[in-house]
Amino acid sequence: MSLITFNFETGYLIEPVIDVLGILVNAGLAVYITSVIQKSNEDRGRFKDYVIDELRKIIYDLDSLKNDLQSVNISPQEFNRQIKSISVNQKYIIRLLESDFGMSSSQYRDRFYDLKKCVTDLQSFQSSWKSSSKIQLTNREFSIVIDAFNFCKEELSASIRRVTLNNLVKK
Amino acid sequence: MNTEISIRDFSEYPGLRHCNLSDSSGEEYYHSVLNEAFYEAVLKQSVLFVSLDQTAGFAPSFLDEAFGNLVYDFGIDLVQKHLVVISAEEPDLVLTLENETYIEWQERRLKKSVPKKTKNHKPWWQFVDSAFIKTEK
Repeated sequence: MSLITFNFETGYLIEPVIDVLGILVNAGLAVYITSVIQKSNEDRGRFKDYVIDELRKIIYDLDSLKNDLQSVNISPQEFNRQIKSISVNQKYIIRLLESDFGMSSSQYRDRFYDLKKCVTDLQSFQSSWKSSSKIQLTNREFSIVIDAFNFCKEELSASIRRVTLNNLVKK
Repeated sequence: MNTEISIRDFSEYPGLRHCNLSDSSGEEYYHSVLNEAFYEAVLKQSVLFVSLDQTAGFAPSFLDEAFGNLVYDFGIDLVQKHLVVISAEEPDLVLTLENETYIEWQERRLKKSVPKKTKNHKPWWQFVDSAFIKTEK
């Protein structure tokens, strides 16, 4: 509560004028800060959405590759080409998970490498190589492959959950 | 002076581990390109850069056989000193080579667990008892 001060020279009350100015300045600052924070939150939200979309795309690409194997629709050479394409595409997003969300992706990298190794070491994969024919997996091989794909997808889904809950490290 | 070679010059479609499984295999690459190129780099006291980029992708077994044989024949110390594998497209492949393949094949070298050859190759270089020798099988 301020005291009312009378200026004898001008005949005006000084304190009420200063109080009103203070209120206006504070209100302006509050509006400015709120809008900056809101914009920052929106930017972070958009960035998270982008990262989540990219992770979902990787899951989609892996599913598509698994379906091609299941439906005897892919040659060993084409498998290598597609898995490389996924690897190149996911490189940037993995880097973002590490740098901007402080998340370790080593487990996913291991799973992804295991998937490549698991498929390319299969007897059916190797026997189709010379003729570039479509890979015809046995039931036993397919169940091994399914597990390898699922391990990758589990890691990606866990990353999506962590991105959703996580605060950005880099702001 | 350092030398840079690219596996893309060997094949756009690198194959599988052994020559009996596929054309352009890791075994073939090692014996037709990598062994000699690396030996020359060591002789010149230079570094051999090997690029993995611009191919249609690798089966892990190709890289394991090609670079693993190099460690088996020359030892991990020479390889780490005179070889740099580079990949802008798939840097994880380089990490796997450095962190896993080299170490596993160095153990094989120490245990003298001879790598399988699925065809006859021209004599190739090895570093044995502090000397370079040409071996044949």
